[in-house]
Amino acid sequence: MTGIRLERVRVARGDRTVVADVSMSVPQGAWVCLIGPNGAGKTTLLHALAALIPHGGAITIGGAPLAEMPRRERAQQIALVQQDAHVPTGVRVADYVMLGRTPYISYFGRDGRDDRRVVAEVLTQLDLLDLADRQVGQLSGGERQRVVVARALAQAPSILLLDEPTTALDLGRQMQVLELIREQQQARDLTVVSATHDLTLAAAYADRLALISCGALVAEGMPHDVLTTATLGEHYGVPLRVIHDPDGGVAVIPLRAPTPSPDATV
Amino acid sequence: MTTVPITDIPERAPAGLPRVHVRDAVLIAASIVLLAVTMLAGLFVGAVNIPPQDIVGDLLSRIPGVGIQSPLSHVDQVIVWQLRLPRVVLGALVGGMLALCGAAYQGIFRNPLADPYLLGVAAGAGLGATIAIVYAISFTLAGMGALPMFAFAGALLAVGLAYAVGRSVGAGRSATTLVLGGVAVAAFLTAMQTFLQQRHTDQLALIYNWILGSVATAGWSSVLTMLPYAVIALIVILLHGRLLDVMGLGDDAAQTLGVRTGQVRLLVIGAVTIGTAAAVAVTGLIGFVGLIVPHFVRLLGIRTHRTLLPLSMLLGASFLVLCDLVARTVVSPSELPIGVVTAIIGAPAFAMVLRTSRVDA
Repeated sequence: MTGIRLERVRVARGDRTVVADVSMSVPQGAWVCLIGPNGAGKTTLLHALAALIPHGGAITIGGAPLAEMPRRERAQQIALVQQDAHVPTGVRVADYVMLGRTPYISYFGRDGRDDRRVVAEVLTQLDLLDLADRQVGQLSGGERQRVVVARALAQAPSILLLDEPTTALDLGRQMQVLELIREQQQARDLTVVSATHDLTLAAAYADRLALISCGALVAEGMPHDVLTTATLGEHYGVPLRVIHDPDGGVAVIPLRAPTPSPDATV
Repeated sequence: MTTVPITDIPERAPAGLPRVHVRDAVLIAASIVLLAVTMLAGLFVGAVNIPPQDIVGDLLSRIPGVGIQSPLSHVDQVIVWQLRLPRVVLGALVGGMLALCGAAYQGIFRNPLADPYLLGVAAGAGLGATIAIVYAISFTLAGMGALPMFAFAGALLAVGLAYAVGRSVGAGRSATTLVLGGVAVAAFLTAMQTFLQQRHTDQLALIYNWILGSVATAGWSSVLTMLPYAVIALIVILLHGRLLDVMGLGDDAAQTLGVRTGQVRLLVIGAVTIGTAAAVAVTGLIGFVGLIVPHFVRLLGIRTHRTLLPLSMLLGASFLVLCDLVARTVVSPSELPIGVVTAIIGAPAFAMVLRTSRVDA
């Protein structure tokens, strides 16, 4: 069991409390998407889940406290796809994906048969075999993001954390990457926690949404329950209207204050 | 976790993997041959004209079981065995060490402009050497003279200080604070050195001579002095090749992969410091090697440290032996400072490679 439970989680960056008192649980195999305004604490919460920064309260993974997990074991369970992941200049796709095997290789060891097999599998599943020899930096945005996800999957994690995995991609590429993650989530029974600004896509792909505002969890549930005109309007602080498509899609329409049309001044 | 049933997976790794490994192995083998050739050239060429075939004959005569009489006179034997060979070996050792350390620093600081002197090794060694020279300190301890001893201690002290300053700011997490600590420490130590020099202008030539660097040596003592430190540095750095690749992802990403980034950085910095401090102590400040040799290797398309590190080391060794060969022959019987030669040969060669290269630097 690798569900995630957060109980009264607090996270501080320096002296500033960024996340306060967040309690929620993510069942194994579910995809929860964190949404919320800039600076709400989405990335900070993801970093706490990745154990990059210490947290107060309790985070447990399948019942075991995150803070007490040995770091290698933790790295075998939890993978993080960072926003703007840094790619070393000139590194080849296959070598980059192989770095995901680090938690399985001893300190002074080198990659073995199993590691190469896993990398080959991931490259095949993500349709990257033809790019294996190319430099990551020379790929297009969509291909590059696929490679970054491949590195995380090479970690063979049970929990995948994604921070803005599709920013800077066009709609088509965004959907391709998210479809891919959905596919892998189901094939590998992954528990996914992502953070995004794109409410429409969040509603389309995630099982549940968690709205974070000013470091607090203010709404959590099915997309159509969280994405309401009242809730979003309150926490984003702008006039907007949420439209629920009969097919299940959600659209958020920004409402501008009426401005006089150019014709009116003539 | 349920494992994913995979079908249609090739039995072997993707085509890209083995091909690159073969290329890397070929490059390493070629650079070993190159090093052997340059070292032999260094042995054959010198102020005194000794026929190469006689040197080869002398080498063969020393192999037990080969019944040849050495064709060399006693004086020539001394020239080959006590002057040329130790000098060539020292050049290879120092060149290899500086290039290896440069490659390691560029990896650990994720900065292609990092060089082995980044954290104040040069400033510390410079101050140590200056103190030994201006106060005419002279002793020998465990085969090491006062000047190299002071330079070595100064270098270690400088990096220790830089590390302490950097850590006090960033808790050892950030590489940038370490570099800034190094900048502060180096500026301070250089100012102290300048102060001492101004007070003892009569010694300037000696200090200047040391700063310019030289692999000139009589006998094997310099090689033996440096060897243990070089071996330690070499082993530690080469063993960290794979982890340097992981560190290239950035500290956060490396940590999510289970790597203790602070510990890896400390170990690599420690090894680089010991290696460069030992090199600087016996030969003075030889610049440029640690910067351009690893870059040259990267321009060949080598990016993984597993190959980048040994290849930089081998080519750095050849490069310095070659530079020394030039330094002691072009204005023979006098000599050029080797640091001048590394830059005069290295800079244009590097610029040319940079221009013709199609790989991202």
